[in-house]
Amino acid sequence: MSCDDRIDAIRDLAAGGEATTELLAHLETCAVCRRRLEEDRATLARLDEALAAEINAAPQANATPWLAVAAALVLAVVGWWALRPGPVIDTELPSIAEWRSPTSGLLETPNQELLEETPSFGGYDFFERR
Amino acid sequence: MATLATEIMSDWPADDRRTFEARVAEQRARLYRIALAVLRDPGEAEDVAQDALVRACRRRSALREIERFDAWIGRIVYRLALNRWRQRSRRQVRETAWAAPRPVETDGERVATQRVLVGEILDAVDRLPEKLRVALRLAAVEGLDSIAIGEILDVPPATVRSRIHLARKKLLETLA
Repeated sequence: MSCDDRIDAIRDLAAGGEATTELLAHLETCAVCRRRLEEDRATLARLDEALAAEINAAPQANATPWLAVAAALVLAVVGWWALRPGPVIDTELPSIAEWRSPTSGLLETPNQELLEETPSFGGYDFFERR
Repeated sequence: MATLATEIMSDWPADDRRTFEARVAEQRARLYRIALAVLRDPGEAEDVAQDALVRACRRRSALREIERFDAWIGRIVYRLALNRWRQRSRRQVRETAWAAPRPVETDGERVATQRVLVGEILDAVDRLPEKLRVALRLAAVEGLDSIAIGEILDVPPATVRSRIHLARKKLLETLA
C-alpha cells in the first residue's frame, strides 16, 4: 500500500477518527504522511478557531462599528467647534473724520430733527452756561 | 424583550410571565448564536432570534415542561434560521445563474495569507451538504454539546458526532 492509498485514512484520523494499527505503524516510519497528518490537523484547528470567533462574538459586538462612527462624528463636530475660525475683526482704524462714538447712533432717531428744533422751556436753555 | 412579545404576554398569569422572561434572558445570547451559526449574518441572526421569541410566546401551550424550554426554543430558532438560509440560497442561485463567471485564480496571483485561508475554509464549510454544515457550525456554539445539538436537530447525539466527523473529513477533501 502506497502513501497515496492512505490519504483517506489520514484525513479520517485528523478529523477525529481512529487509526488502524497498520496506519500507526506506517506513520512511525513515513515523514511524508506524518506531515500530511499535521497539515490536516492544522487546517481543522484553523477551522475551529474561525468558526468559534465568527459565531461566539457577542451580539453587542455588532453595534461597535456604529458606536465608532457615532463617536467619530461627535469628535469631528466638537473639534470643528473648537477650531472653527472666529468672527472677522476689522483691525483697521477709521480716520478721525469718519470716527463716531459708540453712542452717536443713539441720536439718529426718527425724531432727531424735531428734538433739535424743540425750544427750551420758557426760552431758558438749561445747558447754556451763563 | 421584543415589544410584540411583551404585548402577547400581557394577559399571561404573572408567574408564567416572570418564568418565561427569566428563561428568555438566560437563553438570549445562545439563541442568537444558534441563528448566527446557521445564517452567518449578524443582522439576520438578530431578526431570527427576535422572531423566535415572538413565536415561542404565541405557542406557549406547545411547551409541556418548562425544563424542556432550552431545547424547545432552540429548535424554533434553528428552524426559522434554516428556512431563511434556504430562501437566501435559492435567491443566490437565481442571481448567480445570470452573473458572469469568476475568473480562474492562478497560483501566482493567490495571496497566501492566513486571512485568505480562513476565508477559504469558511467558504468551503458553506458548500458542505446542509446536514453536515449545520452540525459542524452548531458544534462551534459555546455551550452546545452533541446532546444539546441533537435536541435542536431532533437526532440522537451519536448522529450529531458522526455528522461532525464527516463534515471535517469532507472539508479536508475539498481543501486538498
